[in-house]
Amino acid sequence: MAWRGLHGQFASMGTGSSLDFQDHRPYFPGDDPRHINWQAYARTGSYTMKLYRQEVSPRVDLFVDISPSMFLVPEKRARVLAVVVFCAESALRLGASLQVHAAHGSHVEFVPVERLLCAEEEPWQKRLPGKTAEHGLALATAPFRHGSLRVLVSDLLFPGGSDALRPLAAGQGRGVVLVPWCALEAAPGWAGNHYFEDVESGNRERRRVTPSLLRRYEDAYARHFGTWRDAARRHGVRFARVCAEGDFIQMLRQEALPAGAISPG
Amino acid sequence: MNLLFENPVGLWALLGIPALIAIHTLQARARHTRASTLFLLEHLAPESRSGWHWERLRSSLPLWLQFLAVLALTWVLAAPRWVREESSQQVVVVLDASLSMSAFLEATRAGLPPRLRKLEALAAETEWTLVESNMRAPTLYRGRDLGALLRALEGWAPTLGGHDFTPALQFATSLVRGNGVVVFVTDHAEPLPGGPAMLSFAKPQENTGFVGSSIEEKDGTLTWRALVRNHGVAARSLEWHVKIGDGETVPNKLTLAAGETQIIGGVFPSNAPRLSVQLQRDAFPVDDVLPLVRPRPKPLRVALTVDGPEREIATRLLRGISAVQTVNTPAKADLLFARLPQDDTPATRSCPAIFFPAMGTPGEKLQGWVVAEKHNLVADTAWQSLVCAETGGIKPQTGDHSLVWRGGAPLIFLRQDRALPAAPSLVFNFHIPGTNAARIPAFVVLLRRYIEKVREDLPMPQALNATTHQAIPLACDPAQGSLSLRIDGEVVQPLSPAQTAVFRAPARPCFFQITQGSPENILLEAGVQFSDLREAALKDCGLADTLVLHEKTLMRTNSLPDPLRRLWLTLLLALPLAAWIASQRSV
Repeated sequence: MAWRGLHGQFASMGTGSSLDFQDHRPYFPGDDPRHINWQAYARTGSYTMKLYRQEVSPRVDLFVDISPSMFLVPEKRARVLAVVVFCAESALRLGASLQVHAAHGSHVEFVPVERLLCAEEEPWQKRLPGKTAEHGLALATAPFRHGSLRVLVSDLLFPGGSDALRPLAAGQGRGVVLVPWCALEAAPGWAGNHYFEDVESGNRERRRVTPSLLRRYEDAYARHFGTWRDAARRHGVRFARVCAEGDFIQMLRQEALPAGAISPG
Repeated sequence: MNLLFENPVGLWALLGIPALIAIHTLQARARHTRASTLFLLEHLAPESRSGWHWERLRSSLPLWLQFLAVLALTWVLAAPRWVREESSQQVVVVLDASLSMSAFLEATRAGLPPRLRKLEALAAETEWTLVESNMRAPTLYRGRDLGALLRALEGWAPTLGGHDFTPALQFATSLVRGNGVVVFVTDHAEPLPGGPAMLSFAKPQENTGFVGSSIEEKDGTLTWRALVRNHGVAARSLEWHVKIGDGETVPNKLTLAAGETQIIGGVFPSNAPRLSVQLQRDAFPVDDVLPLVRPRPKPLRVALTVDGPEREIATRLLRGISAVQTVNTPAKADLLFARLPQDDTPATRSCPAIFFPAMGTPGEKLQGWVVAEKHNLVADTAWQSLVCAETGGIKPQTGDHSLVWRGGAPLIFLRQDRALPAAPSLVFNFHIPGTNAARIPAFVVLLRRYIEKVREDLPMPQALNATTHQAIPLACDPAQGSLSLRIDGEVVQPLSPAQTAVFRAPARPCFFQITQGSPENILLEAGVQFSDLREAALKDCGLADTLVLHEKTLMRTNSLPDPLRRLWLTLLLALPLAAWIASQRSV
């Protein structure tokens, strides 16, 4: 269950010279005369071009959010690592050109694939300097390659706008967002007095959490990801949340598979 | 069945519930929480910023188990008992009739009802008796209605000075047959021996008051003097004034150190039959007023038919007694000094007499000790020092009442006269010149007692100053009508013959009169003052309560223990354990 296929069998979003018919369009001077649809010319008397799907060697840009919130609890840390490794393995098995970048706020760092797959240590063990996550990830400045499959692994726990995921779809790229989350964030069960420490900024705040406040928080949490989901839909980005608790494959089947973020291999 | 708690102090364990609530709310102090979604929370307005230290109590199984454990603990500690339906008890309440109780009457009226209601709850039926320590007073209440007893208590006031309350307590104890208790309500904290329970609602008080008075005539001027004592433990400054009729003198200042006694005094105005000295009021007002009347003893006419040394002794003696008038005619006398012939026979005399032996009458040799009989005239007097070798030669007769003996011979005796059966003559059966009688106090005391007794029996008007409850002999002619008592000008009650025989001054300071027949016929006019040092010293008063011990005994007698006590004990052990287990699981 991954992005499967050999080299050259991955269809590009653009037109190319593969055998897969994609569309028709009028002929423009300079077009390859081999692709003129002569049968249509015989019927209509006008040149019509047959467009075929382009066959490319896939490029996968894996963009991993390594802000502290990604490692809030051990379960989430493990799930983030699993998702990243899953994406990298899938890309490599596809024969894709894989580039991995780790990002924290505005700081982006290239991560060698060898280091990523080395089980001895986490590739982002050394924290990156960067702004707090409230400023979000610097997706706009991310070094996505043209026409690449952009896989963003992030918990998206920062305010997002409707265009925040636009870079994932820019440059003829396709975007996939995999969002690890844990139950502690979705339904924290806070009650009473809490001395909250923001894992991103380190800021602390005393707060009394009443059942009403908790309910409103849970609503806000749901709305937050609804906003992200809408943004993804707007830009044609596949969006799936991956729960940190439970079996990994099972969790992928729950949302990532139905959302088309991954496909069964 | 009524529910009782043998150990009501155990109910304080209920405080464990608010304590638990406090622990459950306070122990939930701010928990340190690392959060990745704080930006979501920050956008939500808090409901309460101020009360973040307090957390609303959350219902949980451990909490409810702990509540149950506290309730079980309270139940076990309070030791509940159930009153038996057939239980009954007798409660005799003895009120201390000492006047010092008047200073604490309000405290007693407020404090006693709750205690009695508590006693009432100890049995299904309670037989109440309310008496006072004044044995002459009637029973105040007897029955099963506590409300009626309390109403009787409201109308009661102490009347006696210092007195022995043991007879009243013995009487009360005799009333309690079987199950019951005697409650002695007093104002002193000294423990009682024996069975009665003691209750005192008093507390030490400062008090200054009169402790005595005297009226003397000197150079034709009558003066009054009064002793004022500070019974308290702190110095006190106060004012006093004299009230004569409707007028008052200018207030005088008086400062007394703790325990100090001072004399105040003044002239008794010649035109005033009475006056009242009044101190500034304090907590014990009974001794703050001193009613005084101008003394007017009954005039006593004395005829001296005796000569020689006996006459000289009589003259000297009568000189020291007020309102004595010497007359020459024995028939007009109230008292006669005379010699008794040796062959004296009961004859008709017009008045009581003091007889001495006839001169030259041979007597009998005397041997043995001088011994006094038990009689009011010779009580507490010492006759052992009387040197008397022989009798006066008067032969004893049937009906003579000997007062003093030497060996087997009566030296002094009373001789009854047929005409005056109530006034026997006093006979000295020895020659005064041959003895040292004139020099021993007992002789003079006997004479004076006899003379005063004769004066008492005269049915004549008099005015005197007395103390509260003082016995005042009343002599009157029954033919002149019945006697009435007037206190401060108001007719209180007609006096019965029994009251006339043993008349006592009123219990509180006042002016009173006893009239016979018409109101103008005043037989006795008197001022009554309170001067009981023991009662006025309120500094020794204090709280006391030994009823608690008796309550426990009554409770155990009248009630049954909780049959489920073992179950509660088991729960008491199991509930905390269950609460702990539940709390461990919920972590």
